[in-house]
Amino acid sequence: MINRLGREGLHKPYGLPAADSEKSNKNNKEVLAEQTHWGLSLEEVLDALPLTDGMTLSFHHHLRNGDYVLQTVMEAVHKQGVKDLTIAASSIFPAHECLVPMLEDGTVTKIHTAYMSGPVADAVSKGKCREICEITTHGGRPRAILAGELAIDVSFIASPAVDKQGNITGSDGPGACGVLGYAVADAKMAKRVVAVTDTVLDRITKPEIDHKYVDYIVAIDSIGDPQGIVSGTTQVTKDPVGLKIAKDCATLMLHSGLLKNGFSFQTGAGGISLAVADFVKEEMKEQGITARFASGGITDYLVDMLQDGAIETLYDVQCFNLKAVESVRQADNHVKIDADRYANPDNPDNIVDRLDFVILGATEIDTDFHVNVTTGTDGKILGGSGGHADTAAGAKLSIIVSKLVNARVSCLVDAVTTITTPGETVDILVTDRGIAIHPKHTELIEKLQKETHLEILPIKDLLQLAKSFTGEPEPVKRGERMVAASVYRDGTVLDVLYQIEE
Amino acid sequence: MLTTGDVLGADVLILDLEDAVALSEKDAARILVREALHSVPFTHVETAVRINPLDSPYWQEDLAEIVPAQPDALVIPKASVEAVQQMEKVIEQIEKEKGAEKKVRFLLLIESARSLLDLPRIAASSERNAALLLGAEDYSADMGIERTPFGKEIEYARFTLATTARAYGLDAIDTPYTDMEDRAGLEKDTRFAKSIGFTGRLCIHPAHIDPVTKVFNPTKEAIEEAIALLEAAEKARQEGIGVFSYKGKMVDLPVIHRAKSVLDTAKSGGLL
Amino acid sequence: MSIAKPAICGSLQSNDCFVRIYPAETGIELELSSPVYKQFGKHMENVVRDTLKQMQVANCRIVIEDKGALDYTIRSRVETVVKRAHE
Repeated sequence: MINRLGREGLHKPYGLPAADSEKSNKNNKEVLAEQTHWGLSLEEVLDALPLTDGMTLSFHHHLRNGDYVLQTVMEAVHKQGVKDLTIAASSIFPAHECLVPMLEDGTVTKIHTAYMSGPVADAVSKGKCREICEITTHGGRPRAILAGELAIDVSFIASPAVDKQGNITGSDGPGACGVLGYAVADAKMAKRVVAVTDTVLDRITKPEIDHKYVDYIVAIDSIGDPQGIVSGTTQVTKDPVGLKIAKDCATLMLHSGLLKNGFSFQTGAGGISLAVADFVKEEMKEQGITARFASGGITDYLVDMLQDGAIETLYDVQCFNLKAVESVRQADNHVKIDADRYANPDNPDNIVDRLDFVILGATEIDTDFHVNVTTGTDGKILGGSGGHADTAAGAKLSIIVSKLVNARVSCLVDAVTTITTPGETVDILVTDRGIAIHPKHTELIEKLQKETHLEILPIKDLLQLAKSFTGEPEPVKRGERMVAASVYRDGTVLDVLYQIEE
Repeated sequence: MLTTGDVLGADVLILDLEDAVALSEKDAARILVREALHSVPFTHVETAVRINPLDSPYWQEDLAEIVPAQPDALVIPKASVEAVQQMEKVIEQIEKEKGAEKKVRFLLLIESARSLLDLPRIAASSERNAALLLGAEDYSADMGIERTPFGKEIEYARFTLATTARAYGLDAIDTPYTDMEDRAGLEKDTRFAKSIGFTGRLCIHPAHIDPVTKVFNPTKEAIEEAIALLEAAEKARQEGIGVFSYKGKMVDLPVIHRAKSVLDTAKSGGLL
Repeated sequence: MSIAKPAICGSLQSNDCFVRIYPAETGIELELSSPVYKQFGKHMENVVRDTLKQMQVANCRIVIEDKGALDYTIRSRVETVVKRAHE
């Protein structure tokens, strides 16, 4: 079915009135473990479950590209000879390459995630996965789990440290990753929970995951490579053009009326987004204001601002490096949150809805302000929403920062290849050659034109400007077969991804 | 950077064919700059091309390729009366042949003791001259002296250049600040340059553009002050009063001209 | 112009292209690789051919490794490499 944005919406099109509620026979109650079993090997646990065809297995991605657990578990699963499994991993990285042959031989026939990169993403793009995969958002995933829409049979939780009772923490052990926010909904709702760990402590006082959810504890040599775990962060850009974009963005924020004492913000992980935080910090110092909170994936940059007193509280759903891991361990105002609290639209207390600003990147953005961070222009999967669609929806002002044209690629296109974030939640595009503001913001546009020298143009004009540099691109042919759905935070389908032509 | 240099906030973008280009690449650079001038829109900025000096084997080909592409100006390195005159002859010819719409202006780079002494003649050497630029690195090499951060050793050169430029109605553009990291030093040095009559500064690092612009732009207060003063002057003129007092200071014609100059700079800097 | 000897021009930096030209006997042999081949490949090939035509090059083998160069850069690199190959 075609959805409100004119794209394929499968059986749950975005923006149209909901079909009959499917919730009546969904399990949305927490599942407690009868007992926490110790001492079994991974193989013994798989036998005890028992593992069967067609199950949904889940994993979290806090160990990022340093994760060993998914591979260790899936190789053992593979040996069991089961098939038609769904892998619900909160994100998939190059380290999860072991899944590719499992897609090819039918062990795994569906992937449910919020972000996919590397060989697995390539394989899905090339049509190697039998079912249509689902690429949702960081907030949509716990929503689906807690509402019973994504039913998990076994959740394998990479656990940096457990205690003798079976409580799990992310803050200790050689594979410490700080927060375990993406695993909490899984732990609560999965039929069975298996903690996979390399460190057992006597007592954990502030566990992320309570032992009452944990059915099995499996010890392995190492859950992950610490170097790879903290691989998520980029540096503040040094590129003068990127800095100009960041500076213009900061100027815009300053004149928006929202940059005042007690404001809140989140930035994406890109170099330009981080540079915006840099300029905003200077502005804050000059005005003597502090931020009530910053949220999302936490880098050392934000930790510095916390320690300097520029930010009152950090809401951390994911630690991007060791400084963040250390800070969340001991600082009271560096708060661990789970993905449900972070961005579940059905959670009335969710953090992203309280944001004033979010500064994000975009692979593509079109004249409806729809953003694509899921695929490249050739249709190949290179990511997924992550928190993009959630923060854009929640923040009062959602700002995309990007160079307009780089290496003959324009970020602004006629129509995005894949809709990750719908245009009605995106407010502003800041580029090196001009700023486009969603036409609904008439007052803001007037204010900025009056008070600043920022170059504000209609988005269609900015698109023409881009084309005057690159020329008119040939449309890229897409394949026939659907390989994945771009799923919005509320579970509806924004768009569909197609197999790429080789 | 060739395609994107114009967004960085400078007033003039100098495309270099001289020191930034290896000898083996002079041909490629020349053609690339020519094509860029034809194709890249270069918004909000004037374009200048630094060609190779008179004592090089490259300047004639530089002119042959670049002048038809009509940049706003040429930067003539190692400027001398002879260089200006010889080059202008060739340029006149090219402009005539190509039916050029505008005459390319000259930005003269002063880089030696000799040219400093010859400055009035150099300044007057062509109607196309628009600015005198100080190249302190080559100048101090020529003098056999060392450059220091504080710049005492180039003070004479700076004073002379600023004064001569003013006398001949040209812009005086100071030498680049070479310490990439020292922002405080950059600001202090640029304020000094402004205080002795420089109207601009060369920047070799994009991060220097904003701080330098801030120094040369009149402040909001200065602009408001100038507007108020000119209003008072207009009132005085209507009442038939010549010299009057404004906020306790005597205001005569030179003061009024200075106020007008502030507003002109403000306008051209997009501040009004 | 005739291509008397091999020549190179340009670089593999982002936004540039690296061009190699060799003498040939029968017409223009063009090889282009580019990260934006799907979107602009045909157009870029036309730019190269047009430039060669303007310079009256009838025979050559020209290999372009593009890194997202705009038309003016491609034109410049091709013109330069032809002149270098001609001397």
